[in-house]
Amino acid sequence: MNKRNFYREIEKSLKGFNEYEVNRIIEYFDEMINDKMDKGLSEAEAIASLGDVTNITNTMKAEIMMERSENPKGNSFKDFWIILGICASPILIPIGIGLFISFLAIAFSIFVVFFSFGVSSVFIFITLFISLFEMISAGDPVSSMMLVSGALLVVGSLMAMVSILVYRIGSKVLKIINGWFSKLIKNKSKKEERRYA
Amino acid sequence: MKVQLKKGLLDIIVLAALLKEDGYGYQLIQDTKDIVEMSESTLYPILRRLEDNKFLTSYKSEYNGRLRKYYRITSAGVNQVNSFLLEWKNMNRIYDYIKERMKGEQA
Repeated sequence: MNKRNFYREIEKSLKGFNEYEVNRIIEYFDEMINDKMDKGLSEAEAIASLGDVTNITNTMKAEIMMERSENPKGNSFKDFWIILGICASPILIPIGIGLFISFLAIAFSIFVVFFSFGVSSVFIFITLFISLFEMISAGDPVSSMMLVSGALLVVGSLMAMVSILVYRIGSKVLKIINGWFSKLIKNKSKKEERRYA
Repeated sequence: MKVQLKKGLLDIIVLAALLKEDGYGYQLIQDTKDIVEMSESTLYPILRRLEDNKFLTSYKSEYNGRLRKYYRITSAGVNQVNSFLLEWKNMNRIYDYIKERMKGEQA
């Protein structure tokens, strides 16, 4: 393989990733290859000594995704699809299956808990309005109206808080899963790399 | 070295390799070859991380008609190496203690 093909392969494999980052990677490897050629290696030998392109780019991608999973603002679902995309390489398919199952199973259970608490709190607030309306039309004393609304407000807000908390913890857990699988990919790709080198 | 390296140890090795003089990618791999086996794609993220964390700065300089990227350690980088040494001083004390207790025990 010559340099131009090698860089084209890197570019192709890192398509969709930050362009500045991709250029930085290519620049780095270009310098490496040139330095190796100065030491007497041929272009093809210098490139071959770096290892298999797919493993190199998978390592790079996994590294980027590990960093991204540590960013609290990141979108864990978007990251999940990207990481799953990296697992399209044959040797990474088992990791991909593991990621697919664990991410979706955990995302689903988090959603169910989030949703049930959320819906409960909405229903409690609706109940509050209905019972207030009924009590007013029945001419109930103000003190019992206040007691009922106070109690319902407390329970409703607690439910809403739990729902928000589940959402927050949930997105953190999903990020941890993303980071964890990115690390698995990185280690696996590195191991493969060494086999070729 | 076959043992699993403590996380971040490679970062310190790279910083230490730059203590005496600035260096470039290929040279860093060669300089550390005797103590640790580091592939090109292992070194890249390390350099990137160290530079992003301001432990290193880089500049380009002409060599052989092309530009080569050189890395220079910052004072924050030197501090990083220093705190590593302090941490290991403690580890050494633990090592000495364990070794001392082991004296006379059958191996």
